[in-house]
Amino acid sequence: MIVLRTPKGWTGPEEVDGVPVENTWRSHQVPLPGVRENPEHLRQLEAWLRSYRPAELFDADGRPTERVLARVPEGAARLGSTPYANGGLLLRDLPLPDPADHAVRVDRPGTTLHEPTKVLGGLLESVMAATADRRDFRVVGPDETASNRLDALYRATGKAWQAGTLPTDEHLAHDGRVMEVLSEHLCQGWLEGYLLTGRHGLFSSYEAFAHIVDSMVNQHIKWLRTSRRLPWRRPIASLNYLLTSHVWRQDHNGFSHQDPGFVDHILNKSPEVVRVYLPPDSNTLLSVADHVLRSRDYVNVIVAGKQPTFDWLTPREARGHCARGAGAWEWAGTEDGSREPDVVLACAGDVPTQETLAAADLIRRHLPELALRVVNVVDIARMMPDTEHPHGMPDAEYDALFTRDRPVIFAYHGYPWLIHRLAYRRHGHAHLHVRGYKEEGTTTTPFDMVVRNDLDRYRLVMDVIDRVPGLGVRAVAVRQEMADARTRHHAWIREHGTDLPEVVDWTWGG
Amino acid sequence: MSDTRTPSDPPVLSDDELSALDAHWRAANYLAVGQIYLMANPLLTRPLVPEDIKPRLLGHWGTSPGLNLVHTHLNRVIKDRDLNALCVWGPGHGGPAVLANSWLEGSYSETYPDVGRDAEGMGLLFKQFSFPGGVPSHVAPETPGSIHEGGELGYSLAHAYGAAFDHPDLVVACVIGDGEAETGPLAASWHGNKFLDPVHDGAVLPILHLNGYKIANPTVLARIPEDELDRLLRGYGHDPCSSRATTRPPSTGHSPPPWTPPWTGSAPTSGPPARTARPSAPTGP
Repeated sequence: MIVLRTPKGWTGPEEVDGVPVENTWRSHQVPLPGVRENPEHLRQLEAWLRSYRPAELFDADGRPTERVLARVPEGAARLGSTPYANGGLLLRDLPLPDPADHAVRVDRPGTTLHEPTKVLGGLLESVMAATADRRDFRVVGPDETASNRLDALYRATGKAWQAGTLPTDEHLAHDGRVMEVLSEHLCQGWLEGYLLTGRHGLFSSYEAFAHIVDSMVNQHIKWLRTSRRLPWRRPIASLNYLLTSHVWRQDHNGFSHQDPGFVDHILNKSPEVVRVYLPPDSNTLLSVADHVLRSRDYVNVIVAGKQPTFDWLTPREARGHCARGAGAWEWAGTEDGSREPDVVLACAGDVPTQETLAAADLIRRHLPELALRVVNVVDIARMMPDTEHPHGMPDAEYDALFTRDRPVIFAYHGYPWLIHRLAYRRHGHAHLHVRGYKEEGTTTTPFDMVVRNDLDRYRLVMDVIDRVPGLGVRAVAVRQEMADARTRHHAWIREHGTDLPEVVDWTWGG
Repeated sequence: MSDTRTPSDPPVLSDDELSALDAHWRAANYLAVGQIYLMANPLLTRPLVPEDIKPRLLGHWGTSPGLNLVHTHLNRVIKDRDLNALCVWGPGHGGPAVLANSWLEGSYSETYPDVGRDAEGMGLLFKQFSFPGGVPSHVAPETPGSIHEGGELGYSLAHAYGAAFDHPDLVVACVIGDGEAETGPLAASWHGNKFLDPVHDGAVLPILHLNGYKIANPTVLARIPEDELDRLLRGYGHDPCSSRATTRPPSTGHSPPPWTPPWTGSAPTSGPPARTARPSAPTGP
């Protein structure tokens, strides 16, 4: 490396208005600030420009002379023409497997469990293996590739490492293409540099700590947004985040590790660049991953858990659901098509989906006369108007899915205000009631986390009873039963240290 | 000027070559100043009048001459060694410098044919800079050859390593400003050498540019004792070569750029580039 010491503002005005400028901080921006108004500044500027002797450097037509260009390279060797700085020129499509090859079998929804990120690990292993010779795919993350259940990758490559090793180390390799360093900044910077020069990658992070790179991703989004409007800049592979170890399942870390706000941050940015996905199970995660790894010029954020999660959709259903981005799960509702639903239970994210389906299960048993619709949202930008985001839903479609005037109880993975912000212009917004994370966190049981934040199945049922006109009076006994369940939960976890058996053992239709 | 070569090392650049490099450097500096100030009369074919000057003066001169010096010498090395090279401009607020070089080498006019490499094009190059409907003041996506916006403060070196991974034939030079060198991400970035594989990855050449100041303050790395900085960088596993420009060029004109990249000292002029970012050999206990 080189350490180069030169004066700041070198060759510029030594002094301006009697104070030193060259080789001081005053030369940082514009050394002569008042040239139009101040004849002395104008004189100084002219002397400064002429000190370079331009007549020696440019011919009468303004072209640089041969002498000036004598030591300048030619063609693509020029720093302004290198294809490495226009990475899309070098980009090749990734050799992606059929997601179905890695999918889990689902005979009945909500009865089997898989760890979604572990299932994804199989797909990533396949991509890593298929790029062994091409070497144009890397996975970066602070320290959590294995913790995030992506360790299948180590069957295809190691972790890049050139420093010392010990016999007890695992998976370290000089040529590894998994990159772990306990600096989100480095992970982000490396991956951006890798993508901008024509390759592919994925950044897996604890959800809460993606915030560390908030300002870096801002800049990358701006870069992509501007580049998309420059025809000579060829599209590059998207920057893909997998946010896992998320807010609802920080069982051993607690409050400090609970923050689902990265999504809020991202959704403030250029709609033409940002995409946010909350796949509710393993097969939808595969489908989303397949999509983002093919995409160009986006920043894609996927939020998906690493804990055992119910399988809801078959691979085929998952593909259709993810393509729609949001849709009704007819099998979970109780509508018969003869009238509008009495209430819509909507959800986004794996844990809220589980609580919503458990709430639907309770409603089916306790309030069978209700016409219930269950809606799941994978692509959160679907909530926005189509005039504001390319994935936004037209009002007619939104009205058909969520209704114009029926209560919608929306169980959302992150901060509930986000959903209100995205949907505030919808006809049915006054009837939209969102539950989500309200900064009630600690080290506790998984179900207690949702109870503390009023996102649990019992609370959702109470919300339905409170918001469907006329139901409160009729369903007073059911509401009491739900409240009692929450009270029972409170006592049970403090005595036993685990969740209620009826919660732990719950399955759909079980 | 001083560097760490031993006195017995032969000079590597002839007076003639230094004079050509000086011409390039002066031209780039001229174009940088022109972009910041002028909206007419680009070649000074007549005395300046107030109407030649932009009404709003927006840009960063301070870092530009240093960037121009680096670009001038990178050009020489790329040409001599037939390198595939990329440069990440950490102090990318010095947009005028990188735009000037792109225009000089012709890349700019090939990317934007309306800005030709002639007097009219020079006039457009000047006027469009930091001007409504024109180009940003920083190195930006609009800047040919760039992968790093000037506002991306603190991670030029991380970008450089990212570009070098899995590009074994690429040399990535990276100018690191002494302001951004104070950030946490840049401090961590020096460790990139523990992850760069000599077989499958390219070379990274960090150029820590100490011009001593930020907007209103001195910089830490320019004010600590030089041997302390040297030990800091060696502690990160780098092998710093130090160069210093100490004299102001005579007022009658500018002397040749008083800086020669030290790695040209005794290295062969052909063959693989010096991989200065190579880590030390792994040392297990």
